[in-house]
Amino acid sequence: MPSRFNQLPETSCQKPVAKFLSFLITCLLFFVTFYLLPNPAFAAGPPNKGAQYQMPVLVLKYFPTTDGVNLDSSVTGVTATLADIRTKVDRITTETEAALQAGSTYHGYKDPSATQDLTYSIIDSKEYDTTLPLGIEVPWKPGSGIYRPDYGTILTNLNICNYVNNQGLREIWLYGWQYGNIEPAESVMSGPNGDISNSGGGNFNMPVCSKSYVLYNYNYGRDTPEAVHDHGHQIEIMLEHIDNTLMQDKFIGPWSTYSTNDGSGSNFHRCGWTHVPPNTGLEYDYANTRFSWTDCENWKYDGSGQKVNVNCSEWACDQTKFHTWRWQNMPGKNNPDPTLSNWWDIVGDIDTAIANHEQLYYPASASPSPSPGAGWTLTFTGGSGTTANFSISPAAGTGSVLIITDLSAPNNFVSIPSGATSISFPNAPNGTHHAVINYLSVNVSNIVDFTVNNGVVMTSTANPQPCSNPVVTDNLADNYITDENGDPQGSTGANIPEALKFTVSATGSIGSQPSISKTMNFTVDFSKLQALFGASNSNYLEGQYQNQDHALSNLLGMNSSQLQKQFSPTDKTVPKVATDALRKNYVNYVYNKPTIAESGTKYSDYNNQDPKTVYDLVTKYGLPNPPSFGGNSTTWVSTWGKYWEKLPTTYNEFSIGKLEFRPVNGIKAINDLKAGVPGSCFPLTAIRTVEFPVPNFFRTAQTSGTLNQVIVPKAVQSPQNGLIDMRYLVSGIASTTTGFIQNCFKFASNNPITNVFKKVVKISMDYLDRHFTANAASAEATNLQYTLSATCSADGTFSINFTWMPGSYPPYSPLSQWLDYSLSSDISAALNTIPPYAKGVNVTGQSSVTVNGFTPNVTWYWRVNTDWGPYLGSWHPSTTAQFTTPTCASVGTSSAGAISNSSCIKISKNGKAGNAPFCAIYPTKFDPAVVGQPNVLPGECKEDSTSIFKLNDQKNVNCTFTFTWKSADYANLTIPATGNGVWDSCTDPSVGSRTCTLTVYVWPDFRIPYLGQIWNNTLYSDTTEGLPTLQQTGRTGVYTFFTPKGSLEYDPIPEQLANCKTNPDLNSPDCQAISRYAEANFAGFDNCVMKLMVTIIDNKSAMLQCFIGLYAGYTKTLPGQTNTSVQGVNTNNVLGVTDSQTQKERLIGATDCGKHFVRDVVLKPKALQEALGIKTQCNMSASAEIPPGSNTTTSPAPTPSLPPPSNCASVSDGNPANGIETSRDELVCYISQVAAGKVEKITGQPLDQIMIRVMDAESSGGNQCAVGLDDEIGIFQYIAGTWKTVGWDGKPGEDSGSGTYDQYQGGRTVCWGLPGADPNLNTSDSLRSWPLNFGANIDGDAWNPYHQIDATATEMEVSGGCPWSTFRGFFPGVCP
Amino acid sequence: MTNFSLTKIKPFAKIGLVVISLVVGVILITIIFASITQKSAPKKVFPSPPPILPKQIQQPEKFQDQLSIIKTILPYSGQGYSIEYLQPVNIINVKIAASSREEFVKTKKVAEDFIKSKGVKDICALNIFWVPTTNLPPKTIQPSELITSGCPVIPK
Repeated sequence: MPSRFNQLPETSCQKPVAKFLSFLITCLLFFVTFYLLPNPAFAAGPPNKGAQYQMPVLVLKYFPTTDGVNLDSSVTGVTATLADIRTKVDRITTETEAALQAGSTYHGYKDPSATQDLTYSIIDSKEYDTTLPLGIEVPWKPGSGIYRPDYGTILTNLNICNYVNNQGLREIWLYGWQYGNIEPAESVMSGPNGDISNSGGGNFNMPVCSKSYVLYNYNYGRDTPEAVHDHGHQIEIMLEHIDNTLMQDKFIGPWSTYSTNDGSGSNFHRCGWTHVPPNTGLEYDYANTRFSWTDCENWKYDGSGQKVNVNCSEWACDQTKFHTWRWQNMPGKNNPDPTLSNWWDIVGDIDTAIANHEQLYYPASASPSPSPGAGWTLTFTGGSGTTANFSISPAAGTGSVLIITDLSAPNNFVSIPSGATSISFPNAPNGTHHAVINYLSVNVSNIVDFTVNNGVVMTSTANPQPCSNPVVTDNLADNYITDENGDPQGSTGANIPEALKFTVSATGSIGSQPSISKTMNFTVDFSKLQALFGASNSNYLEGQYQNQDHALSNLLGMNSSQLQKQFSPTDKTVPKVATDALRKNYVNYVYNKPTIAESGTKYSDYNNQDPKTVYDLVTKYGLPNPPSFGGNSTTWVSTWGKYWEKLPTTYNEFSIGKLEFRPVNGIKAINDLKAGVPGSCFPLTAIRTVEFPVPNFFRTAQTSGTLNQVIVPKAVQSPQNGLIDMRYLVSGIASTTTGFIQNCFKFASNNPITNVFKKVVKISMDYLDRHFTANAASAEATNLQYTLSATCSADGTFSINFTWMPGSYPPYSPLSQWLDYSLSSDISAALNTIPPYAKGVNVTGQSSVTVNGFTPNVTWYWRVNTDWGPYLGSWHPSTTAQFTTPTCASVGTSSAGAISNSSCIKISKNGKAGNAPFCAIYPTKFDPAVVGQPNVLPGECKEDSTSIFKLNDQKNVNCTFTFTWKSADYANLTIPATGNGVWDSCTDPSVGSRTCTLTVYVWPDFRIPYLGQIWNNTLYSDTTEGLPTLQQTGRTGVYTFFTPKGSLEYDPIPEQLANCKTNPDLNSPDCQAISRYAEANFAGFDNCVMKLMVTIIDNKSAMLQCFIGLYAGYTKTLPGQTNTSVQGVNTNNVLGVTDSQTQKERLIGATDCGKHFVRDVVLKPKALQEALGIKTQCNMSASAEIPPGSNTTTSPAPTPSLPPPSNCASVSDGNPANGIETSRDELVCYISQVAAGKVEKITGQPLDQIMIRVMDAESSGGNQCAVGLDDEIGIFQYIAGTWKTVGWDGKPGEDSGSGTYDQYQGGRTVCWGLPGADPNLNTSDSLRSWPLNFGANIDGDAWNPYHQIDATATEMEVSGGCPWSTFRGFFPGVCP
Repeated sequence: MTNFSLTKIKPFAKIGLVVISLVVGVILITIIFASITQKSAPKKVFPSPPPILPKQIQQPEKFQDQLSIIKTILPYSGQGYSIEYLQPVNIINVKIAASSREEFVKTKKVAEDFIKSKGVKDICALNIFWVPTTNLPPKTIQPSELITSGCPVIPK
């Protein structure tokens, strides 16, 4: 049966339907083709990141010559033989090839398993003895006669497409020159996608083949760095073609960081660009030793990669190595970041990358969910016995296994459960192993090494994670945030309730516990917190050991001055056996903790070769065991010994600090605490604790503590383990002296550091949540508070400041208001019966008053009584409050009655403020007691997206913490039957229900690890604190209550001595060790032994007896309290102290004089001080540097060779044949003569200064014989045409000088008295030809620098300096 | 044998005189021409510097303060550079012996750090003139590199 449709006319139905369907399909195809596919949001993620590329290269060499022996320098500007230039070009080719291949090795500098992505090979090479054919004119030099080589013709004649299409050619390296009329393009591309290159524009007519190829035009007048440099630009441009914004703003920039963030101080850049490394803002500044933070070595799109502090030593301060280093940090082959492609795809095959719409970055939302193997990051997290543990990110997919690649199956893998984020490998045998996650051999993770020594998993390779593994310590110092009165910061006067200082009321039956709460907010900007401390102190004490250039220094190449700076005060002062032990501890610690921040630090050997991490060194040489004194060092010096002096003596450790909020209930308790009443300080239970990581403190304390052990007179050193921190001090546990306690609170709450803390906090307005009964307006005064004066007045009494909330009975006002006080709790009775012990003060209309004359050490009672007269029935007293005055002895006496806190601690330097690297806080806690519990509540913190100093990838930077005080948390807050209990006041109990009020202060407390120890090391006391230690009153010095563990373990002698005593064998290692030690250190040792042996038959007993006696004396002389022959001066001279007790003491860390004092006055021998001119004062200039050439520590340095005196006298410029015997200084003098006081017209700036600067720039330092590339001559580089106009006086010319650019470049520095060969003999060049303008060999006296100065002064004063290119360079934008 | 008499030699004398006259004439013409030629050639000149009466350059407000910090150690020779105070003109020159632009910039940074290490707080106020002292090609050092890092061309 025929179809019905067949019967229908074609135009009635079938055709419209077909058209409609066709239209739909077309639209769909269009949509898919032009909308979906190119949009990365719909892309499936990065393509296979394991692709590698062959890069066949054709080398073309142009060596024009006229004699077949030498390069034609008139064409190329290069003077060389053909043989030499061939050798040079071959070397450049080899070096460039190596640099490019190394650069394509992702993280090759730190990942030994990484392999290159690009493999270059020279498939053909051709040499020409002709000049380069001229092509198009340089686009930005129209009419100048400067051309590009004719690449089109060159390549067409070579049938370049045969190379490209049939031999896979990718690049052409053309060697030529930049001279004369040739200015090459650095790179040019031709191919299906056009010219994506650094050519600068223009149509080169290069053949278009099936694939793109790039021609690089090197200049063999330069060298390898410039050739590699060309590739740097080309790679940048190709990547920018794919994603310009990413390259400009994420990988290189933002550009703003380069223009505004350079100079001194901390800094952060991303990866920099071809001209600018990330540690500088200057172009071509590849050798800048300045340190800057960068995330380049762990680059991620969002900037969350780990940041490191680098300077040029990271790339050996070499341009080529900088390019290589930077390329190695570009996301490369098999990079683990699932959002990033392999960028070498773009360089290796840009046509395919474009065709596939490959992106540099694939937003996470578009990337696939964790699939087996894709983008895994495997991280070693530690070991337990022979089990190695790893974390996996993202979670594993089904079918993945952890493989130990160096072991044989079936014992080399563990299946990973789907979704697992961690995995363990058990029973690992001894040796170094390589772990990797593998899925079907298709996708693999990064490879992680770990080591098993003696059946114990030791460590993996360095995996620095600065913030995420902080140490929890009890050594926390309290820093209360207070105002000048000691109240919580944010409260002012009597205006309460406010944030952190509030009063609550509750009404209830007797014995009931009201339920009242108050919620507060407290804001902290953690990005500013770390800047308070920094590590400068410890770094100084360690002799800059924390600097990377210290770790990579060349000790053999240093002179004595540099060596002086290389080694620290600790190194110079502490016996080597001590520093050896410290360094052993350092190696052990860093090796076993791969996550410590400096585990990635590399140390080169003493010759600055073969840099290695601690892990590398241990893997290669085993754990270090430095030889004892006199022991065998043969092996040592060829292994660890090469690196030993580079290693620090301590390490950076991130510790947990705590921010706590500590409430105190009740006016009496508050005032007692502020007054330092014994037992009032603690316990203060925190109602909220927030943990935050703080870097560097351990190091600072450790280092200064180590030094103290040696420097500080033993009398003031603390006993071992006599640890005291500020919390301990404040608590009063250790002391019963009230004065000490009182001052301690001031110390902990009102000091420069806490003052700086205040800059980073903000307390928001509170809100009171009264769940019980808010007390309505009262006719009686409420909120009674008092503040005790800090010291006794001259008459031996205290003054008290009383504050209260006046009674209220709207709309009436009280008739009067009195403040009553008495020694009796029954004030009314006392006022009537026992004067003068009760008094009244008329305070009508007031809410505060200060009353003098309160006798000390008694309890006073007080109230505010309000007379409402007829409105409310006469007098209405408030509840009665009380306070107890302390003794005057406990607080000291101030003659002026003013608050004095000078009796406690002097702090010599304010805390720092500014920017420094910091850690954002973590969402959960680290403290083992509460580990895993929330540290930050949802919504409390926000990311500081603008901060460039953040060291970790957490986002909790600006936080507003919320915390609540609840009456229910205090069991004693019940309504009392009688009296006030712990409340401040309660109403009359007779009615059965009472209303009680309570004032609460909540002190924020920053608890900083090791800060107490650091303070101890940087402060000194001048009064008796009654400390339970050996600290002595009035001694300046360092009270190192903190005793670093390492420093007390260093001395092996006690242990060796003990072993020797118990070992009958005199030849035992321990006896021999102490014997060698004694022979080396004690001059009388041998005689002593010989003498005793006469009477004591036992040799060992004789040796021990002598040793013990000498050793005891030896240790006591170390601090040298009375030894005037060693370092140091009398501190009374330095500090202006006249107390004789301070004689011969030394001060470490006291920052009155700072580190300069420490280094120069304390540590240097007197003879050296005298040699250096150091007086007994803070001689800053003398201390900055030891004079050059000093090669001894005891004799004056020889007088350095100084330059000649600087004046305007005629001095030879080194070339008597020049004609005018003048110097640059003389020319400057003449410029000042003709231009001083005049103004350059365009800029309005002083003419003399501008002329000097332009002269220096034009002729590279005022060289009168300078010849420029454009045939300019003299100090201001005049060309012939200009000189004829502005400098020539019209007189017949004289042949005053001669020389061409080539001659000048060739070393000719004569420009007077030699006829012939003026620049530019081209008589058709009216602008530049000297013969044309003045006649053959005649130059119009243009060589005369004084004539040039005259002419230039006239010119600049009248018409400005725009003709000079350097003038335009100094003042960009001022010229049209 | 031929006997010569005055009568007989007279014609030879006339010819000889002509020849001698011609020779002398040629010599004279040559001398005169040579003299004229020499006069038209340019002479070599060795000019002398004019009398120099230097004037003090006006420096920034803090120049003297900062100068006083380092003045006592000047002139100073560092590695590859020297620091000099040109007193008659009242300027500080730091002369750098560098064989390349890169070396100049590197040494300049070293010198800057040295000056700061001596306690100079405001190095811009010193208004230092950085001077290459080797025969580098003209304009090798960029203008910005002849200015103290981070400072204006003419500090106030």
